[in-house]
Amino acid sequence: MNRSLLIAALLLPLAGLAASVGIRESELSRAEQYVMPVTGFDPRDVLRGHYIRYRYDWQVSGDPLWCRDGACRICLAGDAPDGSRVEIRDLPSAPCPKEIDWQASGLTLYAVPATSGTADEAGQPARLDVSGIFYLSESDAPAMEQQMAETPMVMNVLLTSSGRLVNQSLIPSAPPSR
Amino acid sequence: MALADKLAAWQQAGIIDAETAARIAAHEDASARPFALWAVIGLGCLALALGLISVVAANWTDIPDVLKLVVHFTLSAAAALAVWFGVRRDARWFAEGALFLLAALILTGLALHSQIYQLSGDIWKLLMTWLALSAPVLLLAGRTRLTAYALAGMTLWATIGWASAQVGETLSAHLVEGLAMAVPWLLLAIPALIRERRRFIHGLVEVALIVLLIGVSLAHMAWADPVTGAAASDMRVRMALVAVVAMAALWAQRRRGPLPQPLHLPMVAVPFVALFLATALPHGDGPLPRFFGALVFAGMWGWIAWAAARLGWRSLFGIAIGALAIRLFIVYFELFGSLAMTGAGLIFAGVLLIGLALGWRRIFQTFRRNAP
Repeated sequence: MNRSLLIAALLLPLAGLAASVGIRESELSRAEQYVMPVTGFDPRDVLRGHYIRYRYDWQVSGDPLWCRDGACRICLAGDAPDGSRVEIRDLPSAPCPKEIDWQASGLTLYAVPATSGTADEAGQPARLDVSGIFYLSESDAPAMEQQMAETPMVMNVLLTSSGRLVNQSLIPSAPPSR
Repeated sequence: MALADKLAAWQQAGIIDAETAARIAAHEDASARPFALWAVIGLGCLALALGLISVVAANWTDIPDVLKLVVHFTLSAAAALAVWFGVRRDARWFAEGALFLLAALILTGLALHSQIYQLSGDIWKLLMTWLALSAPVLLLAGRTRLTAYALAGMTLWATIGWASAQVGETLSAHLVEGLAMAVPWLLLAIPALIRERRRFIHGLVEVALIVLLIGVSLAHMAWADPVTGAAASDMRVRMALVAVVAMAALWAQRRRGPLPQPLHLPMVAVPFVALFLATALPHGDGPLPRFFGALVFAGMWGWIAWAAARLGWRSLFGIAIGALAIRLFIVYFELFGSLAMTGAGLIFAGVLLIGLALGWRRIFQTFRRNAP
C-alpha cells in the first residue's frame, strides 16, 4: 500500500475535524452579542430530552405575510446588544447588515395571517412567529419551566456574520427583586 | 445435537468408524474456543463501557465544551495512529478495529460539533461530510467485511438521504438522484481500484448485489403503473449517470472480479436494463406491459439461476428460483384480480403456493444432486 497515500487519508479526517472547529470558533469570535426577549411554552419532551420551546417576542415592523413562504428577510433593527426589534423586508430586496438566517439558526418560522373578530374573541393582526428549541439538563429543567411561566425571559445570543443565531443562555430579563 | 451424539449416530449408521470418530473428536477438542469465557469477558467490557457512557452522559452539561472537543480529537488521533501501526505490522483485526473506531469517532465528532456550535440542517449533510472524510481511509485500509459493510451502508444512507432532500425536477436534482441509484454499481466498480483485500471487496460486492437485486425487483413494480413520457424522460437523465457507473462496474468485474464470469451479465448489466425498461420508457399499465415486465423479471432471475447452476452456487440458485416462484404467484393475482380473493380463488391460491413450494424444493434437490 502506498505509504504517503495512507498517511494523507489518515490525516484527512483529523484535518477536517480541526477545520470544522476552527471555522466555527472564528465565526463566533467575530459574532455580536444580542439580548432577545422570548416567551416559553411546551417545555420538555419525553422523547427528545429536556428542552424549552421558546418564541421570540420581538417588536416587528413590516408585513409579516411577506414571510408566508419563508421568502422574506428578518433584519435586526437595533444596535447590539438590543435584540428586541426586527424589521421584515420582502424579497427581492437588498441584504440588510444584520440579517437573521432563521433556517441556518434551526428556527421555525410561521407567518400567521390576521383573524377577524367574533362575538367572543377579538380579531388579531397578522404576526410573525419565530420559535426555536433550547435544550436543558435534567436538573435545570423544572426550575426553568417555573421561571419561564412567572418571569419575563431573554435569550443571550451571538449573531454571526453569516446570520446564524447561536444561543448562549436563557435568563430572566431583569434581576429578581429582593 | 452435541458433537459426541452426532459422532455416535454416524458411527452407528456405518458412515464413519471408531477411529475416525476419535480423530474428529480430538480435532474438535483441540480447536475448541472458550466461548463461555469470552462471553463473560465481553459482558464485563459492555458493562464497563455502559458505565463510562452513563457517567459522562449524566455530567454532560457540566463538562466544558473545550474539554469535550480536546478529548474527542485526542481519541480520534489515537485511533488514526492505531490504524497506522496496525496496517504497518499487518495486524488485521487490530487495524480493522481501530479503523472502525476512527470512522465512528469522525461521525460522533461531527455530531458533537453540531451540538456545541448549534448547527442545524438535514442529516444527509452530516452523512455526506462523514463520507468525504472517512471514505478515503476506509477504501485504503479496510480489510474485512466489518469496514466494508460500514462504508457501503453509510454510502447508501448518505446518498439516499441527499436524493430524498431534492426538490423539483431540475438537472442537479436528477443528477443527485441518479448518483443514489448508481451506488450499488459504484460498489461493484471499486474492485478496479483495489488489488488485494479479498474480504473487504467481497463485503462491498455482497451489499451491492443485495441492494441491486432487491431494488430492481421492487422497481419492477413500475410495470403495474403507467409511466408518462415526461416521467420517463426525467428518469433517462437520472439513468445516464447510472449507465456510466454500471459500465464501469461491468468492466471492473470482468478485469478483477470477484464475481465469476457467468454472473457478470445477469447480475451487473441485466439489472440495469431491467431498471431502465421499467422506469425510463413510457408505458401504460395494461396487461401487455405487465406481461412484458413479468418476462423481464423472469429473464433476469432465470439467467441468474442458470449461471448459479453452472457455478454450483446453491444459495443463489435457491434465491433465484424462489424469486421466480413468488413472481409466478403474483401473476395469479394479476390475472384474476379480485376474483382471486374469493373463497374458491383463495383455495386455488393456496394450492398454487404449495405447488410452487414443492416445485422449488424439487428443482433445488435435483440441482444439489447434479451440482458440479
